Amino acid sequence: MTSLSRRRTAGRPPSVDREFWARREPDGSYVIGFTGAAQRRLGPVDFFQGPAPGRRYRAEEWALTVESEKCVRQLPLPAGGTVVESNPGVESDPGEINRDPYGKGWVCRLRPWRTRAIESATERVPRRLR
Amino acid sequence: MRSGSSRRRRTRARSSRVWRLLDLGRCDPLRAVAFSEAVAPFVASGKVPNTLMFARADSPCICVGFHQSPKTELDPEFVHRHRMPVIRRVEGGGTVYLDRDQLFYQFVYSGTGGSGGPGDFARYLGAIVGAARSLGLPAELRRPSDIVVRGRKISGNAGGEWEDAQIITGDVLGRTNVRAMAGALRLPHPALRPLLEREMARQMTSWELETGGYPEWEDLMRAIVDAFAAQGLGPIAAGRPTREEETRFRSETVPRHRDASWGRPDTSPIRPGTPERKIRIAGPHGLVVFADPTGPGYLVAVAEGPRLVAGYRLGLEPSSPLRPLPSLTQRPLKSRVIPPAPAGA
Repeated sequence: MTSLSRRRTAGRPPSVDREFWARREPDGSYVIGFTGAAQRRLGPVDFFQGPAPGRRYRAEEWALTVESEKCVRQLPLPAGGTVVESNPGVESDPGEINRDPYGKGWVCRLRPWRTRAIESATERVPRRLR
Repeated sequence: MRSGSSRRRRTRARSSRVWRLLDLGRCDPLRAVAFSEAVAPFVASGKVPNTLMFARADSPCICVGFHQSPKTELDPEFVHRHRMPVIRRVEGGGTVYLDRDQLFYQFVYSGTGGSGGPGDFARYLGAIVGAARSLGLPAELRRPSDIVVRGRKISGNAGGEWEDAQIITGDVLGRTNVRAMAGALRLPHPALRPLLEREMARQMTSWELETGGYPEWEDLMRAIVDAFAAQGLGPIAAGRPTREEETRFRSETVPRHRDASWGRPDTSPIRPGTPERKIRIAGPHGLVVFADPTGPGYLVAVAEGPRLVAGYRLGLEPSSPLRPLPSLTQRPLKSRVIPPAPAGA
């Protein structure tokens, strides 16, 4: 399997502000997913490859790939940290990202190095969806 | 009053917008498909300009999309019999068969983090559409990325990000080889092969089918360059690959493509609730094959987006024929799925 980090050399951290929502869990980790607006911009997702559980990702490092409308996009996580868990459900059924972005379509669980970084780069989950 | 230094800065900025034209000519299929991967980091760092590339594969090959699994996509017997190289591109989309009757092109340009996508397809593929029209074909873009003539696909395109640059890749079909295109794909039953060929012939076209022949590739390339400039995508000047790009292609791109672990692992199990096989032919058109929930065999649907235009029933035996099943097209698509496996199965 190709490490996504091999695909990135150097360069500017792309902006992913507000592409993701984040919800703090009791153990201090954050569940992350695409916002409703972001999944609409992506269009129907055909493939999703999430970050590797247990791996540490820098904030600007490619961590996941999404394919929609015949375009492969690489995205970093909204903040640096260690991936605790990746959602296997969206890898096998990427349509969940479109159907239920705040629920079954969550992307991964991250233990960020800096709490403020993730909270400033993500949206809160709308109250009615918590 | 503007200073001389600001004029110089503007001049440099203008000159950096000049695109480079690379014609790789007739070459090895891997070079035709993957040389852009060696160009991308240099485009991203600004060492070379954004680049429009042309190539013709000197022998047939199969090219799968970045996320596809060759194991589930390809007919192993066909690949083995024809000693067909299989290349995984870094862009999305489905399996394509490439040969010398196609002109292969790639736009490599800077931009990351969610740039690219359907908006860029419309922007850059306008040059291909414009070129085809200038040569007499009534081509148009069918979103997101197919170029069609009278509703039939003549050019397939896909996009991707690589090493901080964007790549849009595609080909223009000079002549179609439907038998090879259909033959390369894995199908759960041999009776599906003629159906797939028929649907491909119905949904795809080529320059030859439209006009009786195809233009000199040099004329088409010139028309694309002219249309590119005419549509304000930027001035473009002929160039050559740099020594660094050639070195990177030999030392990084080729070994990666020869590495068996390149790309996604071949673990795409057919899960309950999904079709047995889904083949997109052109845009929303394709075949969907389901396990028959009423008994051993398959249900086969010819789909145009969410609409089913024909349905068939097929037994498991290799000799069983396709039996038309009109009622299939009258049931909702979601009900024709493989039932979940029983617990413990």
